[in-house]
Amino acid sequence: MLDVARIKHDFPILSRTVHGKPLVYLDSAATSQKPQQVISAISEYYLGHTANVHRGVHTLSDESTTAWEQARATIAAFFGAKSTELIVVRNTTEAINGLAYGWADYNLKPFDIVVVSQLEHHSNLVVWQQVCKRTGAELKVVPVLSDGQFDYEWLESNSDGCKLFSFSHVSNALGTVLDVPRVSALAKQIGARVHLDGAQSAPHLPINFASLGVDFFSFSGHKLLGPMGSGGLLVKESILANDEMRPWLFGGGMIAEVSEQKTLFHEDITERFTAGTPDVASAVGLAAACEYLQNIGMQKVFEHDQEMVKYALSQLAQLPQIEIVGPQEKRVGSVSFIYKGVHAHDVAQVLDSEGVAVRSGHHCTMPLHTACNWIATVRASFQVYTDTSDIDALVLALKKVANVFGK
Amino acid sequence: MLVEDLYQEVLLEEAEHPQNKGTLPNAQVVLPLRNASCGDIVTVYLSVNSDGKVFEIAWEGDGCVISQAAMSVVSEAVKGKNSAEVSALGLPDVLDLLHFDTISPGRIKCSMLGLTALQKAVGKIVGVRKDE
Repeated sequence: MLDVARIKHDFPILSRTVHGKPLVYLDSAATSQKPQQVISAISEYYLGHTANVHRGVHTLSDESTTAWEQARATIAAFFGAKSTELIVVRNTTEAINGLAYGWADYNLKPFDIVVVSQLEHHSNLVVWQQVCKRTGAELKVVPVLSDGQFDYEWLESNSDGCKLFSFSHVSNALGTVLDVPRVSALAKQIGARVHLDGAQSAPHLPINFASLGVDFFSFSGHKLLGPMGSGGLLVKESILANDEMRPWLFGGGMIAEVSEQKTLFHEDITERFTAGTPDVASAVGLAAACEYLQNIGMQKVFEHDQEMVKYALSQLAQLPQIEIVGPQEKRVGSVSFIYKGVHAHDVAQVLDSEGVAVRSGHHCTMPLHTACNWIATVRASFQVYTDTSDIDALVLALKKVANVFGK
Repeated sequence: MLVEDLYQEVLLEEAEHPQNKGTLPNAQVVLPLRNASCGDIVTVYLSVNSDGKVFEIAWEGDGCVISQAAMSVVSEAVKGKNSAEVSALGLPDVLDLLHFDTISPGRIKCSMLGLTALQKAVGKIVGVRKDE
């Protein structure tokens, strides 16, 4: 069991009020709140060490370079990856776009197949639609079963000619967890690369990139207690070293030698994929977030999430107006639901009036909502600072919806 | 703004019994519009008379109380207006029609979905007439 009362104390924002009520933050899947440790790490960097990296011989530049390199090492270690396997980006969307421009454009050709699923966030769908337009590859979409689970059998019987599987590790809309060993075994068999969209798994599951069995893993630091605009793309070292993946951003920092007509890229992989001045402060903040979670222990973080999911499912099931959407078990990070007869936005507005922050809408999964015939759903999502009192507050606030709308 | 002020009886009534809801089989323009951020949708059916004034209007839609109530009141308000008059309407007019003093930034798109659809529909008719 986590000492959530103590953890809450680390998050200054959780002591504020909204509409005169204590803030109950249940929108961590959109972005998590940030502990004082992260905020302080960023301030300390700006207050004491601001300078560009790898650009000067003066003390501040050295300190900044060390801060950047240490932050990268900490972030990579958090994911069980080598430092050279981490490309620092702003968020998962940017990571997937990098994968498209740096890998897909060079490795896909007409009639190759890219597979995603109906569960994907738009960022892991729209990018591949564009890639298919550019390369002539075909996009296949794995259907979702009625209980919100991924249809593995469909994938297994439709995998001929597939070059890339790109799936969300945990669905942002339904909390569905991908069976990674099953998918990666199939990929190995047919010689396909695997990308996991880890935006919703990285905040809750222990991730070991070395043994995960995938080639690419993208994540958003801001969803795992790190600063806004922080994230990463993990790529197997061999793919970066043998030029299977190439830089997609060009300019300063990533070069070895430049002449008027051509450029030799940096031999160091990290440098080659870091064009321009990096956001050192965000990397430092994200490293502090990784340390914060590591100190708790990701196994404990996962177990805590499972307690919250289970508790939320059981409490919401007691409200007759609520219909839970998605899996009843093997669900991570969030619980989504429909309040019968009241639109999700209107539900969320009433919840906000009670200080309860949830997400409402299609959660950037329009194809899923269309396939399931949902206009919009309400999502309550959790983090290490969530406890049962937050979920109780949600349930209590939901009762106000009945008062306002008479339903 | 208190949530009770937002969801006043009059607004809930408007959404529950919307004006001009339905279809127009012979509409000069049919225009669907979706709010990309939440999925709410309205489809506007519109015809104008020889003066270019809206004389027939209907709409279908699905979405939150704000978007549907706003579509309802706006559909009634544009009857008899020409394209310039419809185009000149804005958020303050929609808020007036809904009897709101203000609206939170997160609900502006909900309020404006219907009017935006109508303005696009009127613009389309103007385009057709010019082509003729």
